[in-house]
Amino acid sequence: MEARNSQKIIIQQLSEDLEDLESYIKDLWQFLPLPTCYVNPFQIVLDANSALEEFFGWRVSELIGEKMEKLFIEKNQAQKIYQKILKTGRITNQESKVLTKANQEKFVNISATTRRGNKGSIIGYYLAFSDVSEFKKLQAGLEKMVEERTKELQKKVQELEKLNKLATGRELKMVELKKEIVRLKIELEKTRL
Amino acid sequence: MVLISKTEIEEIIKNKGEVIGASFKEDLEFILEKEGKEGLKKLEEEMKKLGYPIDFKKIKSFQWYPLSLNMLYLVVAKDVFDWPDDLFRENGRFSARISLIARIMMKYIISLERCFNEAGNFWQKYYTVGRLTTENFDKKNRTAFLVLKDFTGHPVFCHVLEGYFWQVISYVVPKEKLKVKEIECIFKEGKTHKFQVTW
Repeated sequence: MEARNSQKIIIQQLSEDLEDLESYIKDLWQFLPLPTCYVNPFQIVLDANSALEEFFGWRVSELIGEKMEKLFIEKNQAQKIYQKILKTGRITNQESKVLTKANQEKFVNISATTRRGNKGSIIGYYLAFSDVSEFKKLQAGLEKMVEERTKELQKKVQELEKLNKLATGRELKMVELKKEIVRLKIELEKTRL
Repeated sequence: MVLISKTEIEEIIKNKGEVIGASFKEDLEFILEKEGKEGLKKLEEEMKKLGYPIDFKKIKSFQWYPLSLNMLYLVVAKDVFDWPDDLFRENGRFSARISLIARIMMKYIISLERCFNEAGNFWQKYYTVGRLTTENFDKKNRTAFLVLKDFTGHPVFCHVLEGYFWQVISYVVPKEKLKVKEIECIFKEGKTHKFQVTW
């Protein structure tokens, strides 16, 4: 009877510990400000956090069980990521384009790491997306500005070259004219003599 | 007021064994999703009227609760919300998607064989009664049978299981052709609950 009671107490304690652990994992997972998900080897999303929900616009319950390719513009991207992660075990800041539920394209940097089972085999991987859309917009704006400025400069250079050509042509003409004057003067002198 | 006969309640209460609280929490989320807070309140009130009060918010994930209570609130939900069979299948699919137990078992959801091999283990994480086994796993012809023995349950729960099994198996096979159908049921003169899986 006593042994049974102490067994009951141990089970109760273990249950409470598991509750605490569950709440800890849940809180941590939901706190992570980076959109993150867990994917199995078939590229099926098995878990996701609220940051991902907010970023992509899909509810976690809608996304779980769906193919990871759903998040990408290029559908083979998911497979490529998986192949790369199988090879390297880790991906850091790989540029990619994703698609939100509202069909909005976003630029992201992807980081991923494998999850291994007890025997060391890969049983899935975690994937995190850093939104770099604003940075990309800025970058594109800067590139456009540089391009415009370069075009302006090229135009100015062309104008200068044209002007230069004109000036050089005039100079040459002047030289020729001067030569002509000298020649005519000589001829005039000869005629007078 | 729910219209469940006294005989039906007695039959449901005969269900022995326990179920883990995490399962109740999954159902709680589904009820909130479909019926909102008002719906949940209504369900809890009806359970209280029947003499089986349940406070879903106080359920602990890793505590065990009577299986009969699980079956009863599903039947009450069917009556109160007028849920069709398909919504119970959706309940099962939803549960598997948000399931804490499924998260614990994720390490086994890495291949079709492993998934079927671990069916019994999966079941034991949820229930203290019943044995779930895989029979005639045929990868070539894309069929298998999940057989649940020593378990009564309730017909609505059979649909929940169809949905749950479908969702978990969909993690390892393309879901376009995946079907899970109960082909033998103890409520239809069968000896066990037998689910045919084709993919």
